[in-house]
Amino acid sequence: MESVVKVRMADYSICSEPQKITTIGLGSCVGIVVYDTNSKTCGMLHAMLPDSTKIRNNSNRSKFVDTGMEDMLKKLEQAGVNRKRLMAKIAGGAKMFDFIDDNENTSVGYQNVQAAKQVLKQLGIPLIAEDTGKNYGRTIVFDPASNELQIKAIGQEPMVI
Amino acid sequence: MERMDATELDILTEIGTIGAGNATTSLAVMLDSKLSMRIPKVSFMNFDDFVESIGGAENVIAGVMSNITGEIEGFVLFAMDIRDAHRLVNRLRGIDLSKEEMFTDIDLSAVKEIGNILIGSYLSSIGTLTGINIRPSNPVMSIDMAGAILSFPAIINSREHDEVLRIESEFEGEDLSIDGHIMFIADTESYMIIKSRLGL
Repeated sequence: MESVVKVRMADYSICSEPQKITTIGLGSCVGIVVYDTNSKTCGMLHAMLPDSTKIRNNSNRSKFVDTGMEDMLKKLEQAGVNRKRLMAKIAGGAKMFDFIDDNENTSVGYQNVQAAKQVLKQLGIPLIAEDTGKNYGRTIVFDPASNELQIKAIGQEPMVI
Repeated sequence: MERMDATELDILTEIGTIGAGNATTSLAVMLDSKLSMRIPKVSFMNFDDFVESIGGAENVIAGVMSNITGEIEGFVLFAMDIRDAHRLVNRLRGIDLSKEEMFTDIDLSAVKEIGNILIGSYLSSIGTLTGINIRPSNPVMSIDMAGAILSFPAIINSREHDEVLRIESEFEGEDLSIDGHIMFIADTESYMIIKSRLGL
């Protein structure tokens, strides 16, 4: 009964072994996976923007790293996961295009990754691995049975972190 | 969700038709091949549907994009499925159409230049039609998953909105199997400006 849960853009979802969870075509968005090795349960967030407090239109909470993480953790706790046991892996945050006024450190991809790291730190969730930045899109699949995050990108060797 | 009445929809469809019509005419001349255009699709879309709009988020495409500034803000994207981009380049180089080797630097700059010409011609006809001052940035290019490419304009729009206005024109070759997309992407404010400048 293997099945793969698909996470949409500006959304999150959770699943448990033997299910896997995936999101497709992460560009400058960031994918944040948190997982509990005991219960083999995990959540994945596909966030578009770093910080809901800097935006007027912030009702769509899963669009942002900060509010998206808050909601996803609540949902994991409702599923019986102890948030103190969570660990994290992140991917994405690419700089897809070279527009002139958009350098590496101001690119939205970079900001998304920084926000993800900051929020994880605040929550006390250790970041175990990451594959972020660069200039290409990524499709990611997480398996809560093995805690492996598979990353596929066009023109790159598939990798596992 | 922003609603459009039938007149507004007609007029935006016409904008897509005229913009893409002029653009594909210039491409047809370069290719010495007939291209036919489908009726543009105009809609407000949520981000998730938007990133699926060129053959699915995981479909590999060649995309050339300009950022528009000036009175309105948005993006124009010229995109083709990667196999179609190969056929396009091969046709221009006069070599076997079915070759799908890695793009050379010359191939890539050819695709970018075609995108540049199409985007320029698309925007200049829209500018003339609406009287709106439109300034396109230099085009940028990427070969990647459609979802990753489209996520960029989606993110820029997502700062203020949860949907984008998309005018999508699609053309296809008559004797050459290529399918191309020209997409005008704007936010609600720009849509209101376009409407008011057209007297709607």
